[in-house]
Amino acid sequence: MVTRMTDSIFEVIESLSQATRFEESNDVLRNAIIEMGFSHVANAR
Amino acid sequence: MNLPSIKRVRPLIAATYAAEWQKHYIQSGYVNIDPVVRAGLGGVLPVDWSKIRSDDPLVLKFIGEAQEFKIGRVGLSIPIRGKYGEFALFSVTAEMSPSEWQKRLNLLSRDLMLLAYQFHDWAMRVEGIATDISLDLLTAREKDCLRWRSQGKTDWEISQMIGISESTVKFHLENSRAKLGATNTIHAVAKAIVHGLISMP
Repeated sequence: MVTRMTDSIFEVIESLSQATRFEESNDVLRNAIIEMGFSHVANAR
Repeated sequence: MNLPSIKRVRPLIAATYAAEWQKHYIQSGYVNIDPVVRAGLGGVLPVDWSKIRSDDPLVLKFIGEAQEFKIGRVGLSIPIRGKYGEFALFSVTAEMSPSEWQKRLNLLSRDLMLLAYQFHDWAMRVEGIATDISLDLLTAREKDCLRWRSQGKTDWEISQMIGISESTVKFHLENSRAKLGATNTIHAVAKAIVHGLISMP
């Protein structure tokens, strides 16, 4: 089954693409995952 | 953890976890014990933390400490392998029951994958490792297929809507993925959206 992506995720992607610093992108990520009902987000590379 | 041209003594972590936990994690060398990292390194599919089982005392100690720092009762980690040989692990956690968690994942797992790949691409661009793609790279058919895929349509549904065979849809999506340097179709959708190759709904 292929689930549909929600409309709001495209707005998040747009915001993320406009970020120029890690602090900005982290803010976008944090706000997005809280909106989605999650508590934390982490990205390790 | 193995980005080309960048020498790091420890992995770069961006997280909303408590700073104390992040410091403790790094100082304790938990990257070598964390069962989620092990599972992520060993596969390509998202790792649902609730599916991880271990009797290893070190792992149990790690999990106990993570709970003390309120990392989250449940979590999902998405492994990302890029075309430059890099590896990343994007994770989200939550404080909710297993049944609530499953409902949430069923609804949002594709969104999370899209977000994970997009954040990774963004980081690669900002660090100057990845370069932008050509904006006239995709054919009209490839854009059509990606646009419908972003709407959650299956290969068969796309084939019916634009009047081509299902195998041709697969062909166009695979071509799109390769041209965009994406690791899978969701990643290709994310890249196409960000670069304005397909419009948002």
